Amino acid sequence: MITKTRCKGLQLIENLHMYKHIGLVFKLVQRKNTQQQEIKEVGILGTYKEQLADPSVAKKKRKAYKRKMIIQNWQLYLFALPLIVYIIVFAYFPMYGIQIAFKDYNPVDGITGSPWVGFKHFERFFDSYYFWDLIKNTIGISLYSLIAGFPIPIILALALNEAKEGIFKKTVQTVTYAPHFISVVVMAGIIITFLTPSTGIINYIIQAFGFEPISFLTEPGWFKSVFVWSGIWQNTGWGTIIYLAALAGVDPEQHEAATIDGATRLQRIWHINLPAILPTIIILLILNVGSFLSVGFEKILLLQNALNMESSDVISTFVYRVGLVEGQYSFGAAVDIFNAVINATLLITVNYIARKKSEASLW
Amino acid sequence: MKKGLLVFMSMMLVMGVLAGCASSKEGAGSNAAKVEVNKEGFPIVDEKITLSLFAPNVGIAKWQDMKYFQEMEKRTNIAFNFNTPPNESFETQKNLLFASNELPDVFYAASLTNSDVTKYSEQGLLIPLDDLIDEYAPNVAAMLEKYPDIKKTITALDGHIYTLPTVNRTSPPWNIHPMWYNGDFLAALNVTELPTTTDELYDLLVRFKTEDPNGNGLPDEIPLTAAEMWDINQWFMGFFGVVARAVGTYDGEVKYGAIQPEYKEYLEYMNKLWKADLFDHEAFSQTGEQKGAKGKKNQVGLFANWGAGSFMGVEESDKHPMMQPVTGPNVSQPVIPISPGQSINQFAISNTNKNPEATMRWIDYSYSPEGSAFIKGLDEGDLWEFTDDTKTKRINLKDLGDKKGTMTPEYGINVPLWADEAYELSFANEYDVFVKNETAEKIVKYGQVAMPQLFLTAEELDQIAGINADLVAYVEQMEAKFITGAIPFSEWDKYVETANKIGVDKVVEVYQTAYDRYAAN
Amino acid sequence: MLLDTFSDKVFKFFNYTFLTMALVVVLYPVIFIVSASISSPDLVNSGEMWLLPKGITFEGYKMVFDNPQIWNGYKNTLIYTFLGTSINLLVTIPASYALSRKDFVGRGLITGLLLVTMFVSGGLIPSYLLIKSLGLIDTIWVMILPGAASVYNIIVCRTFFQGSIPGELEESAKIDGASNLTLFLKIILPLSAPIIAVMALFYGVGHWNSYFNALIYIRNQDLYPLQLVLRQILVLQEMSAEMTMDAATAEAMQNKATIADTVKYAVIIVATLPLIVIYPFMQRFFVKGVMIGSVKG
Repeated sequence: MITKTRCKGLQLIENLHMYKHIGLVFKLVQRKNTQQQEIKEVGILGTYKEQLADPSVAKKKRKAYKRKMIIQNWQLYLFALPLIVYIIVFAYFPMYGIQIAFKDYNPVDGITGSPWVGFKHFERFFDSYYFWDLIKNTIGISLYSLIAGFPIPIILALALNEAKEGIFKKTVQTVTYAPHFISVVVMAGIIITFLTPSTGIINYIIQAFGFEPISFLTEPGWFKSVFVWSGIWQNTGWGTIIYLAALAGVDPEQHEAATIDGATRLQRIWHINLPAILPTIIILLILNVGSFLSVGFEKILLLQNALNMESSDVISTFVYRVGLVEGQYSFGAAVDIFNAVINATLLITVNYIARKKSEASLW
Repeated sequence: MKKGLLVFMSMMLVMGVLAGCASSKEGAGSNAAKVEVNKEGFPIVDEKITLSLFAPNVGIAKWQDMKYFQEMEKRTNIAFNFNTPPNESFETQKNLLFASNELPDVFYAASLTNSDVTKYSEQGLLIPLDDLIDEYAPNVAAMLEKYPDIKKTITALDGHIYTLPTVNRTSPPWNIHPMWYNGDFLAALNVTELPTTTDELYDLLVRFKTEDPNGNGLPDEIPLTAAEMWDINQWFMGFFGVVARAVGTYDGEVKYGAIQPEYKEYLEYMNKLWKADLFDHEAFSQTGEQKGAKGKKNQVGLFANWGAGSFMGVEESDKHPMMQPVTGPNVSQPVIPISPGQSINQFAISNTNKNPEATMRWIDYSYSPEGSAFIKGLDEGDLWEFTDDTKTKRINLKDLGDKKGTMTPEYGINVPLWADEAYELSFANEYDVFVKNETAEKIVKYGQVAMPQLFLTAEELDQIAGINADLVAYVEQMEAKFITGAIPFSEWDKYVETANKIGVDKVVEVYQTAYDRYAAN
Repeated sequence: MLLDTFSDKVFKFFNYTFLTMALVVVLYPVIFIVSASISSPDLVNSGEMWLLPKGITFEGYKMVFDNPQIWNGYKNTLIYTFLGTSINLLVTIPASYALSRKDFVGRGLITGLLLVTMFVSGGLIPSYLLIKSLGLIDTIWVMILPGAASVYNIIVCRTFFQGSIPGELEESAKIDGASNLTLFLKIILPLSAPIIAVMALFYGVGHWNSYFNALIYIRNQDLYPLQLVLRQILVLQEMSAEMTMDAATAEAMQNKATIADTVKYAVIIVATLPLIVIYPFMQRFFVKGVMIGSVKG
């Protein structure tokens, strides 16, 4: 494997040799992490920013600069073209369907022909007996998942990164990654089997320590923990992947330099590794918050029963239930819009904070 | 940027609206022009026609490969283009067909809802079948004549018939799987007379619990188990005179079961069983498989299942008696909900079908004795064989597994047909006779259809639209909480009040109107 | 390397303890599934099989291997995954790179357009009408084109480019007169092995596990992906109390339940094994210092 990496390096060097400034590239790469901030101010944008110092010419200059950049970077537009075509065709074109949230949709009249009913479906959602329970549970489960589930993959990734390459590391990595692929139906079955009071392994352990068995599945107070921790169990290894990739970009020389300066391992993780993956952490956090109300329904539905329902019923399971009783399209669309508004508001807020407090943000 | 986005979005919206308006009107699949129909015998048409058919698939075989359709094509000269999405997404697909205007010629085993039928017949998408039945479907006509209640049930609000049901009046009219006693337990305790009152039942369950009827020396017996309450509650509510947890009819009056005082008695009784640990404390959380595992370990005394043997992992036999419904203290006799004996809206013809007459003749065959026998069992040697020379007794071949599902659509779904009594009886073995007798004595004797399948108007549906989902969820949660004691019975009045607040009155009123309309017909 | 200090030794100890714990916590259920796949379903359901296989039977695997639909589904899923992931990468990597460039005029607008689609969608019906009018129904393209890119992945990928590719590389390349395309192909791509691996994994697993599009848009059963075939075996139709059930129907349901119970765990293993097996190969892209190492040779 080492030789392979080497080969690739050599090939890259050949490519780099094509350019005269190769020395500069190397220097910059080496200084990347420590002096990134400083360097960012120079360069192409630097001259542009200097010009902006004079506000009277700023607008004109900006336009001229933009035009120049567009011409100069025309290939970048080709890079983005497939994506733009894709989202226009598959995401924006069907968006006229949103209007069914304000209509009584029936298939015969179609989306455009169905009668308008204003906010009827929204009102029905808000007037539901369970509305506040749904909101409370959805927020509870989301918040719990975020607080408990978000940091763990980061910690595991950092820990894995400190382990020596070898069988042990690979085993931990592969084994923790494996449960991600268990389908929801089977996953729910396993959870129920493990937690059953009479025969479940978890309750055997609890009883072995001399405690009373716990009915995890029928005591409403336990539901959120069962849901969240089984999710963590299933997805932590999978969640480390992106951080491990980001950690692969950290220059070992920085660690060597820090070690010479007497930094402990913990200090090096804190001052070198964590900052290196911080942008990724922030972006993932923002994206997670942006799907705050969208708790998937399948696993909840499979673990739900009449006794834990007061703490397990969320917006998506409610929509599913209503959908079983009658045509769900308009009602479902109205709830989607409600979710989207809340999610988008949260995302914008978190992004705003991130932009103020750190360098990474969505825009 | 914001402005650009706005312009862009409004552009997309306009494009979308235009596209929506221009959505094309094309019929899918049906390539047949109208052809002459033979009024009798086979083939139905001299010139081969191909129709498009829409039906749910249980995932065992492709429909075009099934012997049933291949044979029928040879006999009738009618072939099909099949659109058979998985059962799981069938509802969605059905809506999408209507939305995209690609109606099939035939809806088959499609379980349309009554509101589908009302909506689409008003729009002219489904054609009325009355005249076709009179002209081309003697078997369907005979069925409707024999069972006027079916005719009443399938007649839509405008007085026409748009769909045909699956009719089965020969199988036991179970509304849900019945309850059985573990015969080994009864024998071990020398029980010869089954309990007939709720108190006697209680005493028997106590004996199951304490006298080690499975003889393994361990107190591991579970007198009564269930996987969620729907598993057994139709029976137990019935012991106290409640025919359904939701709307049911009581001498022509519609009542909502879950707020009646009799229902409270049911809850109190179950709570008593729960507290005495006679009712499985895992009943609300366990899966069907876990419940089954307990049965196979011979731990359970009383349970619900399609058959006692399959639950206990032994041969089906008359060793395990069906539960004798017991009588609560305040009723003269229990009531057990039974199936109406038909599954409605399983066949319809759309307005794209250019040969409704031929289609009607084709489906009519399934309502004849030979036709229904053919779709259920095909020819001798496929799934069954005769056991005697007079060819009156049949027996299923051994180790069939899923084989039936590869040969005929009549496997796991309700296909439109009229089950023939003689054919069904020809399979009857000793066990079937036992079940039939048990059913007659223990179910039919106390049986009542909780509520006929009613047509509701669009306004009526709209009135109860939001209410039903909330109400069912509330009642279900509270049922569990009362039974397990999570909520004391002192909260009963508050419970009834809340249920009323959610809208019980509205639901009862709507169903009463619809029921009166049905009864007056 | 210098000798470990005492605090480093302590750290190392705790680190390995932590990793071992993580391993054990996850390993147990994984072993459970493997054992369950060759145990008698009744013993699994009753909780008697809790670690090592009990009542060993290979019936589950036999049923899986005997089922031609599963193999056909396997083949289809391989095609969809390979083709789909290729297209995903072709769309995602260049576009994410373009969006990561500060001198790409219009990146704000495009990013905004992307983010909107995360919250607003037209819903099933217009999508269905669109896909129908594009003629994609019942073709393999319906498994590939509607999911040609994921906004989530693009943002993750863009973040990676922003954080890991020094902007100075681009500048020096520009000074040398290299076009963006040359820059991208010769320098950026070789530096991006980790993120390409991550994207390939994310998209690939997404395709491997997807069934919803097939459920809605594919009618020809020969085109069903593996997950849909498995779903048809595993997901039991909910028995509705109002349904008229004759004995034959009940028998069919019970047959199905028994089969589902028998093959449940074997199916997981058969369907997941390829994804588990490729992961160690992917891991070499996440080895620390791989990027910088490749620049320096």
